[in-house]
Amino acid sequence: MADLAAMTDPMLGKNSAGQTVLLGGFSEQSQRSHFPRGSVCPYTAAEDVVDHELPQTGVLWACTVINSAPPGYFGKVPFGFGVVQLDDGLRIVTRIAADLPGELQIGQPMQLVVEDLPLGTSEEDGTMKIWAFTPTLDQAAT
Amino acid sequence: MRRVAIAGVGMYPFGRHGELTATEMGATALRAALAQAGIRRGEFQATFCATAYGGVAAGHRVLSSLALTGGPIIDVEAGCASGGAALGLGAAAIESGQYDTVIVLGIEKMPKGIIRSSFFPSWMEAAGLAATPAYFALRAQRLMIEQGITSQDLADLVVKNRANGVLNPNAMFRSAVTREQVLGSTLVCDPLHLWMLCSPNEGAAAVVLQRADLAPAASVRLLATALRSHLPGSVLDESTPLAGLSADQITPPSTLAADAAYEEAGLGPTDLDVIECQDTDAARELLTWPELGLCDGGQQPQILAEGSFALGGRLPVNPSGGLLSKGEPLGASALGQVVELVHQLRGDAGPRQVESARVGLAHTIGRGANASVTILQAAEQGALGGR
Repeated sequence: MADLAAMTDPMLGKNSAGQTVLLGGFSEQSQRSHFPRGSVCPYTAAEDVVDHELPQTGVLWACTVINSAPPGYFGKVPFGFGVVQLDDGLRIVTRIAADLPGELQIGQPMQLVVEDLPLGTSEEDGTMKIWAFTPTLDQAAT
Repeated sequence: MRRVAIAGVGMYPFGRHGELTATEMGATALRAALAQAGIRRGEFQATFCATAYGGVAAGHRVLSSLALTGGPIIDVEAGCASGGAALGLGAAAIESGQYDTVIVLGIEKMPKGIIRSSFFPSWMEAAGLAATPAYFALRAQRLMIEQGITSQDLADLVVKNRANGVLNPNAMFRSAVTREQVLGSTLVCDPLHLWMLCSPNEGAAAVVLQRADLAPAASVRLLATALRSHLPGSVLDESTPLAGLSADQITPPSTLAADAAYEEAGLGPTDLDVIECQDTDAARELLTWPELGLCDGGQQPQILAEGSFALGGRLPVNPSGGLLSKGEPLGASALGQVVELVHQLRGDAGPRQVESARVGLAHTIGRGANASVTILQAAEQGALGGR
């Protein structure tokens, strides 16, 4: 399962501050970012795509809870699933890391985290890294 | 306008049929359609078979079982719109002069439970990002936010379609339900409850297409058939991308297909008498109404409350009971809609007959994204009303 574990490697990177970021693409010609990075701009077919670090923060745009494990999934249930609108406007499909994802408010601030997920029922199956978003901690409370 | 008629239709009811194979169901539907059209071996030239899970040469197996092979047999896959795609290919072949008579077949035997689709790569399954109903739920939530739909409205849509299903002997679910029962069924992915989601199942539908001047005079006319895919950018459309734009002006594939079909048929939404549309989940049908131009976004609650799209209303939508009553065998579902409309336009739909229905529209939208829209007209010619 090693190859499966590596599938998300091109999507997750580190920024200059050493923080995990999502790696997408950006086309100068279309002035749009996309994710994951493609060989052409997925909106205009422009070919001038360069690597692009996506913003680590955004707001919750849609959210539900998956209560039973879908096919091919070995992680915990229930888990949150939704769409976060990043600060640059890109909407990204994501796991939602929260104790009670069903009680989150649409529009609330979210930030990027990385989760490890099992690739099978035994430890030998290994894990994969996957992006998730979690409610941004209240600055005043920290 | 296509010079193509539907000379006969047949169905194997959508449901769960134990060990019965898709080949056997397809053969039953095909026999019925051929008998109705009065077409025998050697009297048709080609077959287009819609299926998503049927495997290699699925159409050949059906025709082999009835000793009808020899001509070209082409399997067609376009997700939920596979049947619409096959119908379009068959009609175009007749219109071009290549053939006089063509079989269009849809067969499917779906795996149980959440549809496991080869559309999603394995890593997305492992990441929990391949749960199809969860995408439906997010779309339902956005519909509620953007068009003022409530969970009661979602339940009322199910009540409408299940009431129609009671009258359809070919439906899988034939009991009426109440709003309270729908909202009391298991919560699958908020806001969608179990009864708001259609069941993947199995079944078959068959249509005999014929050059209109050769077909029996009472045959329903195929006015238009259009297939479209998605334009990029919408994060929650049926192409299920991992990201999309924040711009909301992306025309959905159902609208692209509907506009093309309206243009080809030379009519518009106000000319329609009966609709069969994709109700994979309750929100999907409510989203489809404005996408097909049947109403403006936000009018759905009023339409539900007034019963305008119920049987007996001004424009009955899903008189068959829809996929919520029939279940959804991917390759067969679009042709199942066509079979229903043919009955409606021939006036032989029994207790669910839409009064004086003359023009009908069938719509599917699903994985790909693929959207198909087919427009049919009753045999008796004459000017269309309203335009």
